[in-house]
Amino acid sequence: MSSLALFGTAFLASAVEMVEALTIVLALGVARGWRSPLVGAATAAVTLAVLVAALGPALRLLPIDTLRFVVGALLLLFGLQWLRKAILRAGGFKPMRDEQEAFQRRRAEAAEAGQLGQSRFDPYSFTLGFKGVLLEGLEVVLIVISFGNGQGRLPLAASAAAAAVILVAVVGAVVRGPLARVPENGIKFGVGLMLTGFGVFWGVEGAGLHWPGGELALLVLLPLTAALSLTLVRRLRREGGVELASAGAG
Amino acid sequence: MSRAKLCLTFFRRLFLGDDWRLTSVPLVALALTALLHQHGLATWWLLPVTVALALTGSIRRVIRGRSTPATNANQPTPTAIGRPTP
Repeated sequence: MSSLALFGTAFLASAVEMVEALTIVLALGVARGWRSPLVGAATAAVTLAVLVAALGPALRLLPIDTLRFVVGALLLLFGLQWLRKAILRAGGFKPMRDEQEAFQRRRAEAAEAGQLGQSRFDPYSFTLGFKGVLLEGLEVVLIVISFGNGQGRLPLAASAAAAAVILVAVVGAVVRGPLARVPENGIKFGVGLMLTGFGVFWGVEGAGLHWPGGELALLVLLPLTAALSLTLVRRLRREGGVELASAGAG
Repeated sequence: MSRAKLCLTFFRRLFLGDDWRLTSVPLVALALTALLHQHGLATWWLLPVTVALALTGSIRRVIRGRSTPATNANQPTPTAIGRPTP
């Protein structure tokens, strides 16, 4: 796999999850003050970085076939979940995620929890900021570790994830609002396809088998996965789900 | 709910997601692929075929599970999915 594809997949997977984490931190900051949620988010980011630094090299101690087997299994787990969710949303059977609506809802919840002065440490904001970033980031950390190690290029995958986190944080700081225009479902669809395709490829290689055509098999696996997914989207739309998708996308 | 149960629920959702069959069936196929390879069978095709069937089956279950079709935007979100939209 090219460095660009590895970087792009890790970057997009991280960015889409960080957009969701940003919405939580923004809502807390606007409703209750910025200090505590930012400290909570930064603490979670450091925790995630430590996880990558600890788990990444530990996985590399495994023999290459075992590593690819584990990586393939992990990528399949996450890839299929992302793909299913994206297919259901594109087909209109699950509402599109609306960052603006999520922001308003979380801001109202934070305001109802009681207002505090700007200078005081707010355990509520710290905890929710920490939890939001940690939970959204944990899946990404596992994806980055798996994807990076599968290619023996963990530093590149980790750099892509870090770049995505920084970019989302900077844009969030500038905009001071949820990033509602990010095409989250399209990104999830693409990342889900890549994770599933590579999960199948590395899983089989990790089992000790070789694909006919070697790495060229990916050029068949990925388009076939995409074709199946699009067929399922069309099937869902025929079943009457498209109106919901259109309504939720607005 | 106890902390242990909360932890279990979190990791179940993280690794198995909304549809446990979608994620666990391909894992079984992956293990079976390795097992059959030990016995000299080149079953590289088993995992991609299983993934395709599992994904199709998962979507079919959602379609079947939906009791009333959404005909306009004011109708409630389908509840067949299993958990609220994150």
